[in-house]
Amino acid sequence: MSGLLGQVRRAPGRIIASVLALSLAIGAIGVLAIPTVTEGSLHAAVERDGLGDIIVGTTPLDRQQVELLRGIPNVASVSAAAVVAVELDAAAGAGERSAVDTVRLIGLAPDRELDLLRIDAGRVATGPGEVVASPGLAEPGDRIVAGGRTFDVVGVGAALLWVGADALYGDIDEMAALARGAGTNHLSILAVFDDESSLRAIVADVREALATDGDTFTEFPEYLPDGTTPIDADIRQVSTLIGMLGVMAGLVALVLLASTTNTLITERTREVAVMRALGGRRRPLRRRLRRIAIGITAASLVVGLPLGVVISNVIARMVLEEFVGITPEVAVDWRVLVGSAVGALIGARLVAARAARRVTNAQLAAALRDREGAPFGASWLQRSIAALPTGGLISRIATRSSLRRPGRTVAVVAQIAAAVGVAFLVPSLATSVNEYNSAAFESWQWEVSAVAEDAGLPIDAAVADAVDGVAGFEAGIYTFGSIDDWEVDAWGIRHDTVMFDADLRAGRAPAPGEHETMVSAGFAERRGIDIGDTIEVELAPGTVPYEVVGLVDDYSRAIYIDREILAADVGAPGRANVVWSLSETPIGALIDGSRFDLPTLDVSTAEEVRAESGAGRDAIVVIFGAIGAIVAGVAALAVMSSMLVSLFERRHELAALQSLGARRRRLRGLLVRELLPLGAVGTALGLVLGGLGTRGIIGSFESSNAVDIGVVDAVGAIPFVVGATVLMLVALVLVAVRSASRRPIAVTLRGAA
Amino acid sequence: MHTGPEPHAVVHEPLVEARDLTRIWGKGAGAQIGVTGVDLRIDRGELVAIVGPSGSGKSTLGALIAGIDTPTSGSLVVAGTRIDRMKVDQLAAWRGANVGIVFQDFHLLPTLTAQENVELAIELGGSGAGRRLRRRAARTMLDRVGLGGHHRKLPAQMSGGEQQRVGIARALVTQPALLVADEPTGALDQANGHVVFELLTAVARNGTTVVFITHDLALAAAADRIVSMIDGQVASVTAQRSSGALATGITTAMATGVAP
Repeated sequence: MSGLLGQVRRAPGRIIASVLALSLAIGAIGVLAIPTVTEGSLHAAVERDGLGDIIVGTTPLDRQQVELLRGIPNVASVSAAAVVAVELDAAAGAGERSAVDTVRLIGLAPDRELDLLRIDAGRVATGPGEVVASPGLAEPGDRIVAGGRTFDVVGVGAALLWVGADALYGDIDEMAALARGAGTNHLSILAVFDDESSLRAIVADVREALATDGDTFTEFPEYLPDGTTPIDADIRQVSTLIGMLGVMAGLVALVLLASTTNTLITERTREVAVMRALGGRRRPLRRRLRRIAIGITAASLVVGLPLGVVISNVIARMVLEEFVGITPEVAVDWRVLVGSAVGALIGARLVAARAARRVTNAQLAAALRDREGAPFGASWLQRSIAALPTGGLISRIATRSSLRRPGRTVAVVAQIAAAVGVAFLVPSLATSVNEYNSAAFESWQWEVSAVAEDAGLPIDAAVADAVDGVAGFEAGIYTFGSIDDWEVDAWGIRHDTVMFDADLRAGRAPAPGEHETMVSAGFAERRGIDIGDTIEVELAPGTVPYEVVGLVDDYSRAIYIDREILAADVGAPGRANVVWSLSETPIGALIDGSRFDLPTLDVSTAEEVRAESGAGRDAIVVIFGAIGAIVAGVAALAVMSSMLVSLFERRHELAALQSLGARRRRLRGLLVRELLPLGAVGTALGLVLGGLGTRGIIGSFESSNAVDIGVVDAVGAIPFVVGATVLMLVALVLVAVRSASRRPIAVTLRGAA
Repeated sequence: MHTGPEPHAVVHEPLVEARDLTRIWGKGAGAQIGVTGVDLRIDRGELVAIVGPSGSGKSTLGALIAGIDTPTSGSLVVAGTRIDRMKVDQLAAWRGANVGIVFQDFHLLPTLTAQENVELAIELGGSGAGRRLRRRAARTMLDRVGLGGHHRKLPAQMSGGEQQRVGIARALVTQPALLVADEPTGALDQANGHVVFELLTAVARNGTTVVFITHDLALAAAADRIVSMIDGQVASVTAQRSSGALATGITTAMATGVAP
């Protein structure tokens, strides 16, 4: 500690700058804790609110059927719910507060063990006519009219499964009566299982049990084993990227630690030589030198670790609030905390050991002569370069100074490369995701899409036929399936559809009335699926074989099947759940609600869908941008710290130049000549690394999702990145020259002596 | 034993005129006095030694005269220019054109060869000489200081004496009106110190005003005048040609703890 204080007294500015930069770098490693913090918060919520392992929509079931399901082997608990989407009468009571058109009525049994309702205000609903409203929809004491019924809002709260949705939670029988078929239509199942395949076996048993009464699943079951949540997979993907940035922050921290430690130890070369000359033994001297680095690292940890906890929690909160709608409590990932502390200390020890060895092994006479431990001309390479009359004298000083300390130069280039790499990677990722989203929409021609809010295919055959009968309108199916445990979007489209313009890479569209399908080309390629293959697709009611007849470039993981075939295969012949329109004519105007029993539809224009997708994308970009900015900032700080240390070491040289008559512009010219090549190499390297990093990350997303995403480099960002790098280096030069010219030359030169 | 310079012409025209020159660092109780109330005149062509014990202000006075430090108060005119109020860049340009400085620690640019170090002074001095001319002048100067065969050597490849001779060559190559040498032989052995001092006196013989700061009274005895400093003030100024005065100067220096 006293050694560290001695160092601080010796060079307070440099030590404090190094400690701060290192603290930030260690803090940035905290992003590695984000997945744990996020998942930890989510899983705590899962445990608290009782989320099932299997979630599935069903055809209407009565109490007895649900009771029977509890007897299926390995089913620990079953909770049924009645879920129905209805229109919200905004003119009545509290509905005025809400801008939403539709609301989900969710009936939950009072004795349920799963899908527990968390009450934020007021109380639980105790009977028909009472509801708990989701946050923002209404307040306790409000009266709300939805689906033609009037409800008294007695509380505000949500169940985790529907968190973020506009919902009214009320009496199960009341809601079941409003649901189609008058029964519960949603199951949450808690299972006893070993792995996901045993979970799937339970699903098969449940499906079989329902089939005995002619019932089935209306949607593809969602598997949430071991307290996972529907967004766990998304969070894991996001976490992968965050983790990569965290690793980069760690590497930057290591480079920074190495360069700082090296400098602090190397500059004591002469001091150590004096001690050696006086009889000091190498081992204790090395120990003393190592303590400097370890002391600085320890001081950085004191600031960096809490900073890491703050960074991880702030970003985890951003992720959870944006994607899940829950506000997590503060959490700490002790593994990351301890890991970064131990890693930093071991790193400091290793780096310091190397530098200490070099300093204590230096030739005594030479070390006593040389103040900074880095004479120029010691190696043949330096001597050879000195023999080359490259450029003017100032240019020669610049070039040779970079070669004088190759380790430092490499470190600075690496730090610039890291900063530029991250600064290029983040917009490249954003551009790639942006382009991917646009590409994923490209094949779809509709201007308006109306998707049924309820599970299954609630649009009956008569409505579907009526829609098909109007030019520019088309009914379709959007559901989910699974191929080899890969969840896929399953689209049911008319064989003569004008809504989907398939960009066929190979093959053809499915023939009408045939069990044929087109498959996303990227998915097919990654799963080894070819034209002519028969694939087994697990749909809500069971597994169905389809022959692959076409491969589509759609940047998705999807299959496209003749609508009539798909409707029959999901157990609802002739029915549909989507209506597409080529114009913006309201679908309500087309379909006379008095003639048809219309389900509640979520109507969106193509522009709205793109905007919604864009909003999600923007949120991701903001989160990654924030992390990227932290990492790039740390790297930039590291560059500044290294450069300032380097320039500080050369203050005597600058003073000597001034004493010979060098004006400030000469000094600026020298430093610019010295830094710009490093900046150019670092920037070029960073752009390459950023490009490769983008490809690596997108590639890993492509392979983990079995989908084509494609990389689009953010070429437009390059001028900004280059400009920012140049500006930073010029600012460094200005600061260095300003500080060099502030101090009297005589004082600086005396300091050297 | 140095025999002192051969007689040379001193033009009785002031090159350096310091009036009430003061240099203080810091303020209040912690203030550190470098020099205070120094009045001094040095004529063109003079060889002047500044002597005094450690901390007496001799190096500070030398730095002020050389324009590498600025006084807190007082006026300082060197080579006809008042330099105490100059801005950083003006002063740099002035130094490049008028002053050559020799440091105890040489302060050669470690990444430049001997010749390049000397050439650099010409380039920064603002003479506008072309590359070829600079190179020739640098080589000539290195030859003059006895380093004819060393022009391609880097400072790390040279001995202390050789480095100091490069430092002198660098200081002289611009043919400055004033040469300030701060303990030029302090880091050298006796033989090398002798060579370096001979070079300085030769410069003085050629008409360049030389101000050198030294602890060595034997060297100081070779100067035209000796300026003795004590506690930041000029204690005495003695001329060599008056043997009594010289004895007084040496006595003052000895009394202040400067070893002969």
